[in-house]
Amino acid sequence: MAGALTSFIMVLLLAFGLYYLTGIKSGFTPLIAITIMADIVLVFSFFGLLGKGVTFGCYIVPIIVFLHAFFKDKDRKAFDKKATEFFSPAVVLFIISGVFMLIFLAVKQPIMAEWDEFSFWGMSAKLIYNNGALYTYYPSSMLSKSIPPALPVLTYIFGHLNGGFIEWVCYFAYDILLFACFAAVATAFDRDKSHLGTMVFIAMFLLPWFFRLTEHVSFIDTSYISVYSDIPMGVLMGRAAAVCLIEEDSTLKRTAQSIPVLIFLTLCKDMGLALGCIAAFMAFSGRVACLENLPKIKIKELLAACLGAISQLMVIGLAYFGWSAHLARAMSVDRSDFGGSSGMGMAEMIITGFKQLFSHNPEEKFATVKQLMISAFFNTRVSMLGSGLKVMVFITGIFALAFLLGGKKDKLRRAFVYIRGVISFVGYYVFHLFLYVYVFRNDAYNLVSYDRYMYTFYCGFMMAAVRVLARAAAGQSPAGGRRPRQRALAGVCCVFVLLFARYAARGNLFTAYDSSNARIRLQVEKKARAIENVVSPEDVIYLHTGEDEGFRWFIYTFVMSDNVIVPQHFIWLPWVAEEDIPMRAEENLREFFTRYNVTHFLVDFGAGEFWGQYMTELFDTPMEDVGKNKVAYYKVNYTDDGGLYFTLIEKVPVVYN
Amino acid sequence: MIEKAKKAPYRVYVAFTALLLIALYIVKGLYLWAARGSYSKGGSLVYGEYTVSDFDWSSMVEKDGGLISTDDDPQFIMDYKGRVSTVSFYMESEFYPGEMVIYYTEKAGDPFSSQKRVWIRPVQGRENIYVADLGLRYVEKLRIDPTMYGGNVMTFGSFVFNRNKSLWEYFSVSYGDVFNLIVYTGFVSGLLKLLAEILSGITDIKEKKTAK
Repeated sequence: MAGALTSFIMVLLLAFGLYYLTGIKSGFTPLIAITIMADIVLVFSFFGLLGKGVTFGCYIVPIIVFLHAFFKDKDRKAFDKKATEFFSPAVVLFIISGVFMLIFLAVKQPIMAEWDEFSFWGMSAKLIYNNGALYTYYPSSMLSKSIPPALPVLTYIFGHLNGGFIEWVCYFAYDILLFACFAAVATAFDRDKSHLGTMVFIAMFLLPWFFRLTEHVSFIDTSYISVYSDIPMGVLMGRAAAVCLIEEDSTLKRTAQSIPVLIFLTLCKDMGLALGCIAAFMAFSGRVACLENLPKIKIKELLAACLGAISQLMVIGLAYFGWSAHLARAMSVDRSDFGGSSGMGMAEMIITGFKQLFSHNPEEKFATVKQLMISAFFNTRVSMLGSGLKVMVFITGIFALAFLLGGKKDKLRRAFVYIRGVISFVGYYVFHLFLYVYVFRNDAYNLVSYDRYMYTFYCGFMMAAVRVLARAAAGQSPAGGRRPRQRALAGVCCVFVLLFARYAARGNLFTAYDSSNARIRLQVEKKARAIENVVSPEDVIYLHTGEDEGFRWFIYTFVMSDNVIVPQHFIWLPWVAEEDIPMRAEENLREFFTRYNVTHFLVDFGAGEFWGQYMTELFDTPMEDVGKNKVAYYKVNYTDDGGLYFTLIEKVPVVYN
Repeated sequence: MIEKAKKAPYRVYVAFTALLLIALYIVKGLYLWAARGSYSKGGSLVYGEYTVSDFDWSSMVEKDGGLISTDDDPQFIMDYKGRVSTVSFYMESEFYPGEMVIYYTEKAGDPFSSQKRVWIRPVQGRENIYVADLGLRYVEKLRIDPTMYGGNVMTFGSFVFNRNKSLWEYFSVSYGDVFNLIVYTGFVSGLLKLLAEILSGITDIKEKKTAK
C-alpha cells in the first residue's frame, strides 16, 4: 500500500508542478502527469531500461518539476494562493476517489479472475514485475506479445515499490487513470460551482456501469476491479478529445496538453492507434474557429489548428512505429501483419474491405456479417438505455442541449464536434466490420465481444458530449444564460444516476467483491502450489487439461509465470487407421515437443477421451486417474527411435473447497 | 432560515445530505425491525429449517451424496404460505453456479414471473453460505434456482427461513452502504444546491420587481 501511495503522491506533485509552471487548468493536470510519467517509462523500456525509466520518470522528473515550482516565486503568498487554487473541485474529487479506492482495495485485496486478465492484461503486468523488463525481451508463456505495453507499464509504476507483484495495485493504477480522466470532464467548474463539478464527476464515475450492467444480473461486474483495456481506452479517447474542445487556451497549449495522453492511448492496444486518430480528428473540429468568422477566414488560426493536428498525428504515428520498431528489434516480429486467419496486412485489409463494402455483389460472408452488424446497432443491448441507436440518440440529445442552450459564440464548434464524432463512429463501426470479417474469421458470425468493442467508442463519445455541455454550463455569457444549461446538465447527470439506481444492485458493484468469483483460479493456484517444490524455473512445460476448453491453461500460465508453458496442441490425425493412432499420435507429439523443447508434462482436470484411450502407453504411471482433484507432473523423456515417454515426478491429490 | 440555507456553501449541503441519508437508513432499519417483530407476534412469519427432501425438485438427480443438474434450469419448489424475511442455505458447488435466484408468487394460482424474483448471493466472509432477502413479503409459493448450468454437482445443507436477526444487524454497514452514501450524498447535495440557486434566482427576480 505504501508503494502505491508513494506513486499517487508523485502524480500529485507532478500535477501541481505542471499547474504552477504552465497554468494548465488544474483538473487536467493529474492525467497529464500520469501519462507523462508513463510515457517516459515506456520510451526507456523500449530500450531495455525499464528500471532507469522508472527512477527518472516517476521520481526525478516529478520532484524536479515540483521543486522548480516551489522555489520559482520568492513571494510565498502568491505560492500559497496558487496552491489553494490547485485544489479545484476536479482535483479534490480525484484525490478523494483515489484515496477511497486505495483503502478499499488494500482492505479487500481482490485478485484477478477473468480470461483476458490471464491471457494478457494481468499476465503482461506480472511478467514485467518478474523480470524488470518488457515482456518482449524473454521467453514466456504469453501468446500475444505484440500488444503494446502502456497499461501494464502503468501498473508497474504504481506497484514497483511493493517488492512483489500485487494484483490489486494493478486495479488501483487503472482506477487512478480513470479518475484522472473524469476529473478532466469536471474541470469546467471552479469552486463556487463545485456542486455541478461533483455531479458531473459522479455521473462519469457511473459511466462504466452504464455500458456494462445493461441488465439485472446477480454477478459482480468487475468495473474498477478489472485490468481490461476497453473502458480505459474509451475514457482516454473521450478525455483526449475533450481537452481540446472549446477552451480559451491557445492552440499550442491545447495541443501540448493532448500529446502525452495521445502517446499513452496509442500504446494501450492496437486499437489505440485508431482511437488516438479519432480523438485528434474530433478535437480538430473544435479549432475551426475561423469558420465562425466567414467569409473573413483567419489564416493564422487555421494554420495553427492544422499544425496542431499534424503534430498530434505525428506523435501518434511515432508512438505506433516506435513500438513496431521495438518489436522488430527485440523479437523480429512484423507488426503490420494483423495475424488472424486471413494473414492480411492492415492496409490490404482496409482496401479489400472497402472494395467489398461498395461492391454490388460482395462475398457471402461479408454480406452476412455486414447485415449482422447493422442489425446489432439497432437491436443488441449495449447500455442501460438499450441499443447502440439509443446511445447515439442520447448523445445527440446532450449535444443538442449544448447547441440550443449554449452561447452563440461556440455554436458552430459544438455542431462540428458532434458531426466529426458521428463520422468517427461510422468509421469505427466499418473498421470493426472488416475486423470481424478478416481477422475474427471463426467468431465473425456471432460478433464476438461486440458490446466490449463498441462501448469503448460510446464511452469516449459520451464523455466528450458531457464535457461539451458542462463547458457550456460553466461558460461566460450574458446574465441568466447559464441557468438553463446548468439545469440541462443536471438533468443529463440525473439520467445516469437514475439508470444506475435502476440497474445496479448492491451485489453487482466492486464493493461486493469476494473471492468466490475467482474460484477456478484459486483451485488452479492450489494445484500449482502443490507441485511447486518439484518445478524449477527452467522447466519448459506442456500442460494437458483434458476436459477444459482453455481457461485453465491461461490461469496456469499466469500462476506459474516463471515457467514457460508451451501453447496447447491438438493432435489431429485425419484418415489414420484405428490401430495406427497411438503410434502416429506419439510421432505427432514428439514433433511438437521437440519444436518447443518441452521438458515436462503437467496434467490437470482429467485425461480427456483421446488421451485416456490412445496415449496411456506413454506413461510409466497412469494419468487417467488424475481426474479433477489431482495434479500430476511428469518428466518428458525422448527416445532415440523417435518416440517419447513420461516418467512421474509427483502426483498430488488436491481437495476442493 | 430559508434565506440562510440558500446562501450556505456547498459543503454545508454535503453535510446535510449525508446526515439525511444516514437518518433515512436508520429509520429504514428501525421500520424493518418493528415490522418483523409484529409479523412474528402475529404468527405470519416463522423460523423454519428445511432440507432438500422438503422441496419438490426438478432437473436434478442424486449423485455422490449430492445433486447433479441435468439441464441449465434446476429448481426447488415449495408451497410456503407465509411471510419471508430471508432464505439462507448451505451449498457446495462443483463450479461457479452462475446466477442464482428465488422466484415467488403472492397469490395462489399465479405463475412464476421474472417480475417477482430476488437474487441469491453468497454471504461475505462465509464460504458456501448463500442468502436471499425477500423483504418480509407474503409468499404463497417459492422456487429456488440454485445454478444456471447443467452438470453441476451440488451438495446442500439445510435451508433456513427467517433466520433470527438481532437489532444490531439491521444497522450493519457494508461497503455497498458506504459506496451508496458517498455517491448519493455527492449527487443529491449537488441537486439541492442547484435547486436552492434556482429558487433564490426566482426570489431575486421578485425582489427586483418589487424594488421597481
